Amino acid sequence: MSADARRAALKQLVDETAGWRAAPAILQPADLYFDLAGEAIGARLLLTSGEDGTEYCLRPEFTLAVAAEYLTSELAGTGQAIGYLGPVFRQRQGGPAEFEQAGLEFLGPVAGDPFDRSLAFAFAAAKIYGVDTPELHLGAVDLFEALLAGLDMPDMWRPRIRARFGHKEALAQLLDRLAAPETTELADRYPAERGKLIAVIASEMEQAGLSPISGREAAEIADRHLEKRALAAARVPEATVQILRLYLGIAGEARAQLSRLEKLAVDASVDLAALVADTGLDLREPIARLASRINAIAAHFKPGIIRFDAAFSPPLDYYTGHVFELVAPKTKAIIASGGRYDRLLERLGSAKPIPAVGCAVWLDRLEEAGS
Amino acid sequence: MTELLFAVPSKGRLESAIREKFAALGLAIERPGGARAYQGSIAALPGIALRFFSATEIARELVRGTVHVGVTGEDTVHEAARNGASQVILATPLGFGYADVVIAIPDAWVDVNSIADLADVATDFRHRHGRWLRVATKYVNLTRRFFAAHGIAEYRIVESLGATEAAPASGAAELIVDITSTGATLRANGLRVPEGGTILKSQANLAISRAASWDSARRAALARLLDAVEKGLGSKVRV
Repeated sequence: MSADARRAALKQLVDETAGWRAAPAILQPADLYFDLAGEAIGARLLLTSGEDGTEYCLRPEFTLAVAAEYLTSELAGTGQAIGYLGPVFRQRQGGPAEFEQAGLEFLGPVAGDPFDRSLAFAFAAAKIYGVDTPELHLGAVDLFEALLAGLDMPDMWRPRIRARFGHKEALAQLLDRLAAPETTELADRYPAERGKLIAVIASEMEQAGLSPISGREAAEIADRHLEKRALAAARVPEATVQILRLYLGIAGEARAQLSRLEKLAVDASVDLAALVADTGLDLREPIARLASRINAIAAHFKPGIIRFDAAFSPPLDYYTGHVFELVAPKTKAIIASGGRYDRLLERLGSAKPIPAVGCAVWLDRLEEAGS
Repeated sequence: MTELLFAVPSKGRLESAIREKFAALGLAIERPGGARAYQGSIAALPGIALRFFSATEIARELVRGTVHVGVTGEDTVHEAARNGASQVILATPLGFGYADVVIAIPDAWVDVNSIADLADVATDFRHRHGRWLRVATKYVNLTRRFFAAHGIAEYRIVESLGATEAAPASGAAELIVDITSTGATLRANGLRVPEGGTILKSQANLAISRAASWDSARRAALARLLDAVEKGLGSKVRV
């Protein structure tokens, strides 16, 4: 089969799986990507600007463009299985800036399990290119969020930790800080009473001519200053940091990791049973979800190996559930990736939550992996 | 044409600094057409053709390989292209054009002492205001790299090509990344550098292009240039 024939077969697969095929414009507003993914994706965009100064980018992927179009159409809120195939554009070290992606977005309530349908699509796409037994790399954002919600710590740390999930180094740096005491060198120079502190900061801001209507407000700065003082006294419990580190270190053949998760007693010094009593942490439900997912995948798709990595997630905070990547055994390249991102449509402006699951495959990597 | 193309700043503080430095080394720069000319030479170094560029263009020309060697700072090399630093060899620091690329925050941010604090502020800001913390800078590549290395993901860059230090006051951004030599401008604008907020210490360098076309004559000319400058700097005018 030629490359053209493989592409045609993939196109047919997209059309068979999806209700219809979307063709979002190649030229997209850059803000769409900056607003949802920040500078991490911004650094990889191919940017251009209009005469009126509006910034555009060549679409770097399909998900955001497809979801944004869905949300502004009359289809918003309805269940849709949307397919796509076409060029995307990214600054990248290996390979040209233009390459092709195909994929699916299941937006709103759809028939069947959209995660299974995404996986089925990814495995079928791999097969078209001769990758019969790809490795499956699995993550569980829901499990991490449940763990984070249940662990004992001052609340302000939860969003900070969540924001770093998927950035392995950043998260490790943060955990190191949690383990070490906070410093508050400036503490002595400022009043401890909130009202007075706000007044002092507000007058400093005024003297510096800082815009009072934008940026960080005096109360916000004062609160965080006081929070730092409070944290110096009441820190994150050592056991919490230890559990997070243990959890994030869980990686390997999926079924073996399940039993580690069920115990989370990798180290004899941490006993999950004791922890549950302390904090009300209950991971049974997300662990059961993960277990049935792993069993179903093993039975239906027979991948080369299923790996579970507790620290694995795309570094985007709209992901909410299971996430996956298919890896080609020969090239070790990621040929497909997908997952559940129930927060995406609300981030794009939807007034109510709309479930979303999707998956994308890289055509150039599939070609390489199969040849 | 197998001349070695040597790019030097065409005007401003850097132009006079390089002219004085090279004169002191016995390598007087000749610019026959005066300050408006874009070509010149050094009598003591035959085989080298001088090309005058504005300072920021030199790094870009080095990355592209349209000149072989040039006088430029590390800061501009990073900004000329994302992979700029791998395309250019910083061969010889020249002892002038000192400048630090730093993060500067409003003095009134009494809760921020360190870069780790800044990472927390970025997360909190997004949750509180529903938008990203904004960083005004013209050092886009350096900022992205430094912030990524320090685990700060929740921010947006506002490109600023002049008077960056005014951005927090005007409300265009919450903080800035900018160049400073004495810190006076930052202080005058109520800004300070948090602990660990120095991204890069830069100075003027003789910088060599990897992408330029090299032959034996040009390599020999480059060796003569580097020898003359390094010998001179080592013996008399080390600043």
